[in-house]
Amino acid sequence: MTDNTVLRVDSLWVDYYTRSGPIRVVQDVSFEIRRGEILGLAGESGSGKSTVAQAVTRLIRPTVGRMGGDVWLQDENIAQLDRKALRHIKWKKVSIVAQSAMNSLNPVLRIRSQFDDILQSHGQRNRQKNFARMCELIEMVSLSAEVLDAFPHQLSGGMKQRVAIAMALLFHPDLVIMDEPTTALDVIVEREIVSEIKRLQRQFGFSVLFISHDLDLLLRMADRVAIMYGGYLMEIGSVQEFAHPLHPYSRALLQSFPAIGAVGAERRRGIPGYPPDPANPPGGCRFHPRCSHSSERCGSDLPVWEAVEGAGDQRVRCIRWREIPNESHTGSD
Amino acid sequence: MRYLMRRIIFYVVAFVATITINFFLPRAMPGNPAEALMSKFGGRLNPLALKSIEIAFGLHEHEPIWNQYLQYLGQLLHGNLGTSLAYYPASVSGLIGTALPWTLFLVGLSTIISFVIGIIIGSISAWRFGGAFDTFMSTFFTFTYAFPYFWIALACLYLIGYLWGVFPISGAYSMDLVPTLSGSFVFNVIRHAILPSLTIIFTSVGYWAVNMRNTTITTLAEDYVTMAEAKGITLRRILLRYAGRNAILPNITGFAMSMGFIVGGAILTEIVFSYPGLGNLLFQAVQQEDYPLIQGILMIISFSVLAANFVADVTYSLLDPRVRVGGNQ
Ligand SMILES: Nc1ncnc2c1ncn2[C@@H]1O[C@H](COP(=O)(O)OP(=O)(O)O)[C@@H](O)[C@H]1O
Ligand SMILES: [Mg+2]
Repeated sequence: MTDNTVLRVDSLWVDYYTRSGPIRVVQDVSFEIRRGEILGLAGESGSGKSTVAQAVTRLIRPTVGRMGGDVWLQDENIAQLDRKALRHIKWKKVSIVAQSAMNSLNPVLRIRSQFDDILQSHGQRNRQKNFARMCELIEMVSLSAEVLDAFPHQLSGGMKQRVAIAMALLFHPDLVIMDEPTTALDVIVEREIVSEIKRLQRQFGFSVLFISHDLDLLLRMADRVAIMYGGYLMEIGSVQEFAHPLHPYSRALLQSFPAIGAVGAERRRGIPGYPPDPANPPGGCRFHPRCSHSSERCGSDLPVWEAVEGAGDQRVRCIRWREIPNESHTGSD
Repeated sequence: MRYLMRRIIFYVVAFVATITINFFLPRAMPGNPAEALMSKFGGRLNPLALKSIEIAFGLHEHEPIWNQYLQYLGQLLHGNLGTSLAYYPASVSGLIGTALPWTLFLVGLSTIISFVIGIIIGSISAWRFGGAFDTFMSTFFTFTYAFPYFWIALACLYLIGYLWGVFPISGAYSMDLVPTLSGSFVFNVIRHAILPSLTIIFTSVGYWAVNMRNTTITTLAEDYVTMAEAKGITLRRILLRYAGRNAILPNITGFAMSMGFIVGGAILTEIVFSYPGLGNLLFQAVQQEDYPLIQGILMIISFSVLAANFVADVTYSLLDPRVRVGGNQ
């Protein structure tokens, strides 16, 4: 792995325990994030995006599920570390802004105490220094220091999300994972937060794994994008490469969103059919029952995570990607 | 603070309603219990006791009822609950005053101990959800919960108290001792309290443990707990400040409610162990149809339920800032 790689995930899998036994919800997921890069992770709800985020930070509790594969944060394999060693790395090397910032703050503690809990847990006990650091961070995300004395319920959704971002930057981590950080917010606040993230990211140079079901948003803000379906990565490539996506699912996903600059928020074409049930997934390619290009082989052969030659590090998981006519599907750009 | 003001007003209204009902209920009872009493005790009671029955049951037909009500309120203000029939000439407030401390001590302390143990066991069970400790405790509590109280009480009384003779089996202290604040007397009181206290704890701890286990499991699934783990916050802090602090909130109300029922809630314990508390007194009063005493004890019970609820509200608002401020700003 080069010095330039912040995160390398290799053959990651995750099972959740259910009443009817373990179900695999993430399978054979491999990707890299480079220093200072934003990688967007897109996919329908239930495709396993949050599970990837939790596995990468080892948040899958042993009572809830199990995971395997390698998760390299620079020179440390997160997947192999014991709990104690893990605790010291957490938040210092990788932090998270959760899907629902609404619920990611402890409702009974002031914002200030919640900052304090993190700092003290990592051995920083100088109250004055800690307070100065909090103020600095809070101002960095365009809030006033009074917010520190508030309880979470006294803040608006946007403010809470800014607080969550400020917390995530507490120790200058190399990687910040953002799991749908703007999904619960209205469009205007979403724009503000996204540009705030971009600004901070340029200023401090951390890498971001930005998860969203909104592919359009990702194409606007990320450097590279990965597409997830039924627990598998289907395609990964730069934003430029996604002007002409290779996987039929990527194309369908792109078409199901209104184009950038389209008048009105009219939905274009939804993908017919339903996402696979992780307890009872279709054989072969997970997408084949809904794919308009599927052949007989798609239902039996599991496609590999194939590098596209001569295309940087674009990868695709489809046995027919070479045969499918490469038309432009990006609409009005 | 507006929240607390609203609650205080509510409790004042509820209390006035309670004492008013306490006044009107015997007067509205069919079959006139007072007259029945008069005929039962009539020959044996002296005129003062008869008068107290008259006042308690409103037999002054010449007095308008609102006048009687005002008199009744005036008596209450002076802490006068009338005179007992069964223990004549002891005053009802005097009898309650002697019995109440024993109940508060025995049942109150037992309930607190039971709550604390239950909360701790419940938290650990939830944290080790599905593990050996959790499985054992859940089974054990299903068992203790299903057992009839008197069976446990009698078994303890017979085995530990009678056969093995480890602890005294009845009373609050040895009859040959004079109540003082000396070390030996306090020790004697504690020895007498252990057996009844054990039976109360044994049968109630499961309730708290199971409730705390369930609320903790719910809380552990909350995003803020997962996020606390992601932040590398120490396990101790997560357990106490993130999971525990939030999981205990729903249990506070239940705890305060049970504190309110302490006063009248351990009748069975007090009877089995002949403990001189309020439950026992109420039992005696009912057996001997001592209406003024019953009325007085019931009023104390309603008052303590209200007071306990008020304490619950205050505690809750101290622990949960969302209540303190009164919703979103
Ligand atoms: N704790 C859990 N136990 C069992 N199944 C779960 C659990 N969490 C998520 N899942 C299942 O795993 C799949 C992936 O979920 P998730 O990672 O949350 O998807 P996404 O974030 O893409 O919406 C879904 O089918 C979901 O139902
Ligand atoms: Mg999700």
